[in-house]
Amino acid sequence: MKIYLFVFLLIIGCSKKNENVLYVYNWSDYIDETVLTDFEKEYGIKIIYDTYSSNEELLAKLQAGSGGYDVIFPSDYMVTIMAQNSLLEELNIKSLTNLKNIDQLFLNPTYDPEQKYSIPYTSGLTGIAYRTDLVTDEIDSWKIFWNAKYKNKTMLLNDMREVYAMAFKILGYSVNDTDPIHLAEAQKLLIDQKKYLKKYESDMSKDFLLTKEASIIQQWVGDSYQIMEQDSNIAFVIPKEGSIKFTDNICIPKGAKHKENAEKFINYLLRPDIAARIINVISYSMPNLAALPMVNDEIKNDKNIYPDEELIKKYEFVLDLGEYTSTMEKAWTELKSY
Amino acid sequence: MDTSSQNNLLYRSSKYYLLLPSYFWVIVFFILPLILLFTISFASKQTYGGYEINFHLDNYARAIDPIYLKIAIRTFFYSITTTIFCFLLGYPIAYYISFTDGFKKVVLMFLILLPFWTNFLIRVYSWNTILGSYGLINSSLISLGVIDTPFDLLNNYISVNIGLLYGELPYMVLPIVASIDRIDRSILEASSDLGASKYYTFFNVTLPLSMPGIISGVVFVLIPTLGQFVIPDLLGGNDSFMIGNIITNQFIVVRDWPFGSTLSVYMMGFVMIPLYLYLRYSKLSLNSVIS
Repeated sequence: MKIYLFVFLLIIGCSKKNENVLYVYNWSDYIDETVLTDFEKEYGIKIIYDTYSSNEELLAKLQAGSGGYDVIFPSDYMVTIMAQNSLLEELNIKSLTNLKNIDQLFLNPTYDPEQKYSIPYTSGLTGIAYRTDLVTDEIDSWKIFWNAKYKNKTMLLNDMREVYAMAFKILGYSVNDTDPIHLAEAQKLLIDQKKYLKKYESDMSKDFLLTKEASIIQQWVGDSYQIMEQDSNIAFVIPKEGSIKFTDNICIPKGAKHKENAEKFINYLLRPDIAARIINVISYSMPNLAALPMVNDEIKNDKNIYPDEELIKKYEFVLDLGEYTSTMEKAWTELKSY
Repeated sequence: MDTSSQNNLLYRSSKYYLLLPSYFWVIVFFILPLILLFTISFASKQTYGGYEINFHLDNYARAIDPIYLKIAIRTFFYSITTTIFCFLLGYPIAYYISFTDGFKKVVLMFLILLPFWTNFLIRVYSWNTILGSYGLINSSLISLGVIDTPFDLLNNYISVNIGLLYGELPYMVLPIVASIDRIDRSILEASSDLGASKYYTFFNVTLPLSMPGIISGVVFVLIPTLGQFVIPDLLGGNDSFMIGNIITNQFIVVRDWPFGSTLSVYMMGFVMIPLYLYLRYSKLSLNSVIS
């Protein structure tokens, strides 16, 4: 018995030492998985892949000091927050030779003006995915979530900023509104909506739409297109009030143990052929200009994925709210508990 | 001082040295975290996480808001119903297992333990395919012509309670099997020899003698259910948020450790009540056995 234990420990000890690994923490359904296996083959680095479903979840994990991840994918405003709280490692830009493929418009963004911590990965909008076979009304507004006909058949994202952004937009305010009176109005609206809501759910709501458990969900564009490929009765619309537009970024968290591997991985993701493969699977646009010729036409020409100026006028980037974040988080806890 | 008393002293102190590892364990993994939790519950949250210790009771005042009280009551209610149903379902199972023997008993015990071989999350998640609008139950009932529109079984209190019952049942069955096993079969024979009916024997002999197992089962089911968050998260909806969900949310989403700690302190205080009753009861039964 003792011998077995000793051998077992020896095996564990050995395998740990020789491992050339990379811990990647990404949003769920946010990469072409064959891209990961190809990276492993090409570089001889083993990827350990894990997923999360909101920026806040990612922040909490890093704040608690747990995780041990090497590559993360925070959205725009979260890059600002993480940089301010020194949770991000500065990137060695020189090692990222494929950065030249990225659209100049996406470089040096306001959330990371010196391009010190982040590289833009994807961008997209939030809208409504629904089942055309179960929904008889024409959907063009967020107000559909208050329609009693779809009681217990609606799901909203389990994401504080997305849910309040929707309410703010209906009330005609900015998604970054910091007036407590406006927040109270939004809260009242959302509490009223809970009568018709089945669940706040980000990842599984797509499965629930596929299994007809839900008929209308708030969802991000690419995720919606991913399930539209599986079921022709699912459609996606951009509501007329607008909502959130986002750029998700590739970053290295502070204290990452495999920083060099991480930079190899980032540079790999910026390669045109790799980027095009990812776009074709996840249906989110990437600011990678060199990849564009290899992107499927139906994705390239889709206004929801590659929106024009006209469409995104009503869409806003989420900004860090500073101290006010706590006020909103308190309201969010109350809303979910209500 | 003679040598025997010295030896005795040595023996006594060495006994305490042997206890050191367990003391270490209890202090590092139980007492220290508890102290930390208690201290943080009096702190203030900083905007992006972290906390500032400045002893105040704001969190305690905030936690008694009717919104959270409502959830606390719901959590308590779910725990009680889960415990009752686990008992009603678990006792006959345990009774049957205990009164079989040989290979059959081994197989039955194996079947009770079998689910533990699969990850808990997968087992809970798979209830989705059973309870869904077009899941196993609804699609069978529809194809049999019993109903036209599917029952709403998933993502509400029904699925949460089914999930809780399913998840906790083994913890009720196992201690009861153990306690029925321990009952001296000759006592039961004596009861029937003296003319007691089967029912009379069960209610006056078997059931009281298996009480320690029942009490353990109740504690094993009731207390974990009070803190449950995985099942309401995976199977629940809008109407089935439990106190464990609020607490996990404080830690993993809004980074409000102080408020999460406060809720945990309240919870612990509450859990102490059944635990105290359990300890009192088990002490009493121990005394009655001795006397």
